[in-house]
Amino acid sequence: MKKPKVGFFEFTCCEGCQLTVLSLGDKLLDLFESVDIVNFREASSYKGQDYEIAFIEGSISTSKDIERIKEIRARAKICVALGACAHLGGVNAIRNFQRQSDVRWRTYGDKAWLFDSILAQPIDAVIKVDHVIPECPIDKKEFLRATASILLGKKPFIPDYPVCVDCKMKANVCLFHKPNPIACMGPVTRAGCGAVCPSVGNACEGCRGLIPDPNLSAWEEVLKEHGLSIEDILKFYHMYNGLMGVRR
Amino acid sequence: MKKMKNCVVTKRELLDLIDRKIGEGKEVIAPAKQENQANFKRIKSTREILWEGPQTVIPPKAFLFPQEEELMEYEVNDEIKVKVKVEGKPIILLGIHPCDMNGTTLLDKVFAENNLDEHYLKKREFVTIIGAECLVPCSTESFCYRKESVLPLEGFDLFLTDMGKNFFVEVGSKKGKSLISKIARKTTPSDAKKLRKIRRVRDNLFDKEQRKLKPKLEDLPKLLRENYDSPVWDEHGSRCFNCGSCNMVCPTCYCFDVRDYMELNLKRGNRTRFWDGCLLTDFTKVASGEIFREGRGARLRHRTNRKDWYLFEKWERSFCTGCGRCGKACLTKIVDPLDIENELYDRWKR
Ligand code: SF4
Ligand code: SF4
Ligand code: SF4
Ligand code: SF4
Ligand code: SF4
Repeated sequence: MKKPKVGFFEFTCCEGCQLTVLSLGDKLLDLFESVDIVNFREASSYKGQDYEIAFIEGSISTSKDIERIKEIRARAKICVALGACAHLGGVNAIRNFQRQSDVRWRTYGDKAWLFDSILAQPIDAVIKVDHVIPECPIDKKEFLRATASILLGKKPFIPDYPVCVDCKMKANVCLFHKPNPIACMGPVTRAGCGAVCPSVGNACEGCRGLIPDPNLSAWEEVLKEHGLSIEDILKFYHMYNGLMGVRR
Repeated sequence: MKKMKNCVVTKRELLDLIDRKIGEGKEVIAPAKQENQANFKRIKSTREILWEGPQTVIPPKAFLFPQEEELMEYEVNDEIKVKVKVEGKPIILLGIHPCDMNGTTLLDKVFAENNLDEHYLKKREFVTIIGAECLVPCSTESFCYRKESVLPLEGFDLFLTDMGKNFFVEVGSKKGKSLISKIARKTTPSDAKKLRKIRRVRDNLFDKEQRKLKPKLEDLPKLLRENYDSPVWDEHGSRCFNCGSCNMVCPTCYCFDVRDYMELNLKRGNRTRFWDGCLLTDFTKVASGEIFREGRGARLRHRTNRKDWYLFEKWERSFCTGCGRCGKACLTKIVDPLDIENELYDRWKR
């Protein structure tokens, strides 16, 4: 079988998802054996333009980004959103809830006029996305499994059920039930991460995005019961899911 | 199961015996404290055991039917090679409460029905269950007394009741019998009398402390049948996350999903099963993408009906042991079967 050609591309992000791929260890060699990587800035300076599968990391936040990602889409047969920034806009989208002139000044200082920055958007606001590998950063095991599925021509399995499932499987004491309860976004967030955050005592902040049918009224009811205000609740959403009205 | 002779052991001797087994490398799993709740852990000493509540977050089913279990590995070359994984290892589950022994007994029936589930049965074969009677309710959520679940039906190797210095031991199997043969002594009429008294006190206490079940236990299937269209389902369901917590923590929920995972070389792969649950939206999603049990209320109804109607009628025993875990786990407090059934009953009578 001819090895499919693959490219990795980054937009606005920390490139943590690409670094996760690079830190696959032995499995990285398996990846190199199964696909032909023609474009991967974190790993090589060679830039081929003849890829079939594009893994795209980062959110869209300049008008140049829009042109570039459209080019990638035009070349690739399959586009995969890699990580929360590409999937949801990620933490970059927090800026969307602030005054844009302030944001630009804080980021670029007196050079702000040089940058045509726009509101941060997930990549599927601009192009058609075939598959999503969520999380901030992506999960190694899920990346490998999803990539194998894509190579097989199948849709990768990404859960649509909430993080509470993973959390219960880990036999965690629910954060809401601890002696000092912590509010958690698990009941409305997509599972698949193994509930890493609640497992170490931290709230889920929703980095894998909301499930398709989140019961937001029930969640807000639970949060209010735990004494959280609307502002606190919005902070939760804005961490990763500020754009949930636009897309889930 | 043929009833074997009961006996009495001193607590000290039994615990020493277990500690020796642990010292010899035997895997002993028992409830131990975890923050303000509990969980089953591999213990290093019997001192770690939490004999009285609170309930463990997840039930002992995890040791027979793990959260994630590889069923087979395969290799696809010119021919397909399959290696089915049917494995068990000897463990002692110690300090298992009556509700969970009953839960396990029900799983034993289900996994041995029609298509024998070898993966489960192999693990079961290797497990020794030493139960411990509850003399005080483990939590405010539990209602085992209302579900005739304060004593185990069967499915244990040994069942201990705390009598002060001694344990009264009900022997459920040869395995159990041989485990304590060296330290057991015959019961006397006064042991039997003492046991009856302990249980009378326990019954009174549980009857006083646990929430009441308004309908009669044996009427639950009928209650649920006649209230299939009750508005209660959607009222409760509208506050459901479909988070499946109630399924994961239930000792008698046994549904699973099976997934195939190929390695990147597309030659080797495995088939693995994971806990699944009827409250999850995708549980009834079929290949064409349709979901045939739409609606949060319908899913909640299904779970309740499974426990106290469909499976109750089929196996002539409620599939809710009253362990209280789902009521505790559910953040919006909508799933507790006893609460739902009381509410149905109240509205139905009127
Ligand atoms: S800690 Fe969070 S994810 Fe875990 S069960 Fe509780 S709400 Fe769900
Ligand atoms: S627990 Fe929540 S925030 Fe943490 S990795 Fe999982 S989805 Fe992301
Ligand atoms: S009934 Fe409660 S625990 Fe069960 S899925 Fe709904 S919200 Fe979760
Ligand atoms: S339905 Fe709830 S109370 Fe009944 S056995 Fe299951 S978890 Fe326990
Ligand atoms: S539900 Fe009843 S039998 Fe089970 S642990 Fe609690 S008190 Fe014991």
